[in-house]
Amino acid sequence: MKGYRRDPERAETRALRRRVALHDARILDVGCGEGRLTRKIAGAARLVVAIDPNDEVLARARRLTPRRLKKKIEYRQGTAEHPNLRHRRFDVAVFSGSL
Amino acid sequence: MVHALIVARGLLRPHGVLVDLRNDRSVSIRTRHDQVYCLIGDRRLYAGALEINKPLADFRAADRAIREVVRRGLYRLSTVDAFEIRSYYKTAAHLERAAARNPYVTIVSATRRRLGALLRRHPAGQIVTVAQTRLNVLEKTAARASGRRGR
Repeated sequence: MKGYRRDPERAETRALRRRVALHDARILDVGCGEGRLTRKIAGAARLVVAIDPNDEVLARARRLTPRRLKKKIEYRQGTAEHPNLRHRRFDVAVFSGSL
Repeated sequence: MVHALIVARGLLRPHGVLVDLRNDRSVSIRTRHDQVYCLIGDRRLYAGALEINKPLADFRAADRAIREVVRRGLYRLSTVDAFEIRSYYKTAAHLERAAARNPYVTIVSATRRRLGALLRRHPAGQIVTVAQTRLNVLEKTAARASGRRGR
């Protein structure tokens, strides 16, 4: 949205990076919504699997993802209780406002 | 919520971590909601609060779920951090538009009035909202997730 900047100081990603090893990590982003945080953490990660129950929101997240991150981010439909990710394992699971 | 944390644990590698990031509503009543300020240089003039329309009970339930999985030995709470997330708006209209798009936020009428008065007094003032945010980091333990209590 124009005329609006959220967290230009990057306090959120700085706090995350200070406390969690994101570099080269396999990350599960639970309840990713439009992927705001997903895109911020994907740069450092090896890959991010971002799940959300809402298909429309996921479609918007895909549209908002820049080309350079498209290979790193996999958007999928799922919930915290039913992530539909059998046989996948992650180094970090992120619940951003979704617990 | 406990079930979600147990499912996530099953997807984590040994010593994997779970990050819980959310608005910190455990602090004072004043900071339980996002705060609106008019920024003039380094000075922050308080305009009021944005009503967060999420039940406080949900926040407390998430805290209880974390305590429960730690009590069961499924995770170890390794870090608790708190910080501010700031959002900047060019004009009051932009703040109104952002609030209208967010189903969880309402601008309190007293805040709207005070912000209007502050902006009339300081036309170059910038609008900033501040959300207190909590970061909990839980490390997966080696214990097996039995889901049973008292073991």
